[in-house]
Amino acid sequence: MIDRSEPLDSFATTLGSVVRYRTLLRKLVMKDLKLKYRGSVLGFLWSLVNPLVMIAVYYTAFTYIMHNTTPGFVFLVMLGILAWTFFSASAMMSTGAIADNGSLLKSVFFPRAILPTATVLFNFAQYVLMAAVLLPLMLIVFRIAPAPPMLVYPFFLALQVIFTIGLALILATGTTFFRDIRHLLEVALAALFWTTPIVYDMSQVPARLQPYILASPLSSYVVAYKDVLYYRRWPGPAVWTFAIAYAIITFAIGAALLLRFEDRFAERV
Amino acid sequence: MPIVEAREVSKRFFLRHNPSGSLKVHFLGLFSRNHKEQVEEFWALRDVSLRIGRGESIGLIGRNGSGKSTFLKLIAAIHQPTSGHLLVERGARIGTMIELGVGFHPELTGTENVALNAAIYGLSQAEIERLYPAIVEYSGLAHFMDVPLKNYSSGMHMRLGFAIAANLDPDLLLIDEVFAVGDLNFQRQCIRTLQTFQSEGKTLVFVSHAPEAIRSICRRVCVLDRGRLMYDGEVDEGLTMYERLMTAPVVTADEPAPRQIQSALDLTDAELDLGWHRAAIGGKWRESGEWQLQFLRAQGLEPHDFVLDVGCGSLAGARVMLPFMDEHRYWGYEKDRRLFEAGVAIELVRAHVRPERGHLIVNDWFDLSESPHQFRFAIANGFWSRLPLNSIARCIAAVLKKLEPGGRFYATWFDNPDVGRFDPIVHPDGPTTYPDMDPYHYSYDVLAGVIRALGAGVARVADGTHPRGESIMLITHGHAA
Repeated sequence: MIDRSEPLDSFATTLGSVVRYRTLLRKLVMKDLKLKYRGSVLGFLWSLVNPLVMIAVYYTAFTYIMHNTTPGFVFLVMLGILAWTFFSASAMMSTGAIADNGSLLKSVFFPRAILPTATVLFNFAQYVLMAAVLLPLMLIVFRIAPAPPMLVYPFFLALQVIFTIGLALILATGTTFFRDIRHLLEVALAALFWTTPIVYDMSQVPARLQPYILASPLSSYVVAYKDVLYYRRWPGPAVWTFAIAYAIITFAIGAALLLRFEDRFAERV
Repeated sequence: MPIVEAREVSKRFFLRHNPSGSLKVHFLGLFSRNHKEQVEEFWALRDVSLRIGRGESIGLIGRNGSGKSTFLKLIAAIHQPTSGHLLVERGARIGTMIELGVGFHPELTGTENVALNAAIYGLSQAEIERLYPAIVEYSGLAHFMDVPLKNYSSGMHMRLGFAIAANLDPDLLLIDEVFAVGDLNFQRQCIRTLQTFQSEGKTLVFVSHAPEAIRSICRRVCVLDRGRLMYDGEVDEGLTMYERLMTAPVVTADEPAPRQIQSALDLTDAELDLGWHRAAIGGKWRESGEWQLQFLRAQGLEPHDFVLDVGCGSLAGARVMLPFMDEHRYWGYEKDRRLFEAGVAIELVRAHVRPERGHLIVNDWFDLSESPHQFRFAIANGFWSRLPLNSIARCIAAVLKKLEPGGRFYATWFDNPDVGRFDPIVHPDGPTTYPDMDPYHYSYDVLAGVIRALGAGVARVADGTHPRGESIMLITHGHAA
């Protein structure tokens, strides 16, 4: 017999049940993708428009107004913008993942972690689609030959996914108790955008500030992408450390928070 | 082994006034009381214990807010019990029909929604593909499966939702009044499906307000009222009890009702005679109730007279007086809500006496203003022995207000001339008169003094027929006695 008065899940059983509900995870991601592109003529192409316009704007502003002469600037900005879009959209969407699904939570039981995880994977799917188009294009335009460091790109990408899922669990749990988190998040994202080397390069940052910029949560991932894909070099030890540490710590906090509070979700939404 | 076992399960919810979820409320709450989130406790379930065996079909019935749906949601793991233990068989597949078509999205087609909804219930891709043809056939919507759900009628919507839930093949199915909204055909199809489930040995827990639906599906009924399990047993008796509850006065205060009600119902009549609610009115309760009617008739009570039963208690008097009196002529007052509820739930139901023939007033302060009538007769049978003198005075004053000019108010009490001794009186035919509490037994002189001080007349009635051996007095307006 299972005792319903015991805590709902442990970490291991949650992971197990998320795996068991992988069909639901996939269906939720597919649902969001279908809903996003169904009924629009250009469909998926619209997803490319937003980052392309942003890249064009930043390129124009930085090259012609600020006289930035970094070589390969467009490629570097693209890598940053794609990673940023995936991250910030996931964070914003995840605040509603649980708080906005009241009727679902109140009528069916399923592992609650599925919902924030699905929003992250939905945004990650879009990242993959965009990267699949833009990345080969850029590599050809800038005549960048394959190199061994590129092999660790999927690894850093996986770390960023884990980091983002962890943050999504925190935000989804937090928002069910404090709706203000949405507004706080908007402010935090604006600050985070400029403390991450997206529209500038780490080399342009004064040496004194570099450790601080690298310590910004998203920086290690963006720096790693630029290192391996554009500069074709291995990321430094600090980048590895930050990328792994942020992923593990954030995910652990997110999972612990969700497990601690998930039995109250149905009463709070 | 049961598939579900509840052991004294309680569930508390918090009603949030000035609902927070906002840091502003938390922040302002530090400074101002008005901005503080007001949290009110609400017990949706209280000490519910029951066992559901494999293959049983149980109906849960009760008024709105009685805790039926909460109980389903606890089994389904949507909420967690606040206290107690709720055991559910490990590995049992639980199907929930708490709301149909949850997670349906209007822009997606029928096919896509079936897949998504089934996945929410935990099915794998392979299982969904295996069940899909059966779901489509059951729903009768084969022609519409590639149409977005926004073009479905609400009936089709529900039909599709039920078709999915019905084909999930659970061991334990929890159903919350989901098909009450459908048309008659749909309801019939639902009931047939549930009957098929039953014949396949599946377990059903069925929440409904519809007695016919419960009769056609369930062999056992649990009646919940304000979070407490009031009855667990035969369908017919349970439904009768439910109808009683629907007509019983709504008592809103959340005072713990006796847990003994439930256990008492499993007892035989002989055992019931020893039940606590009867002990509370002293020994010989049945004789006392019958005596009350005999005595009043001897004093000239006619069925068309207005009569007030003060301290009607566990309704031992009501069960004989209600059938005797004309409709709406019997009024009962009781101070002890626990006793009163036990009376309605046990005595009247068992005796097949309809409480709506008369009127029952329950409050703590002898307020009889609910009655628009003046009474010709009033009787307080064994009531005062449980009251201190100030309450007796209040009681007398309240009854006098409602007594018509020539009306007569009889009261029985244990005459205790030796005011220095307050020992329980041991009755020859039974246990001590009121074993569960310190009795108040006053002398005639003390009571008569109070009554005269209230401006009323009082006299002893020479009648030794009271089954508990209590003395009787007559109280009237002025000094007529």
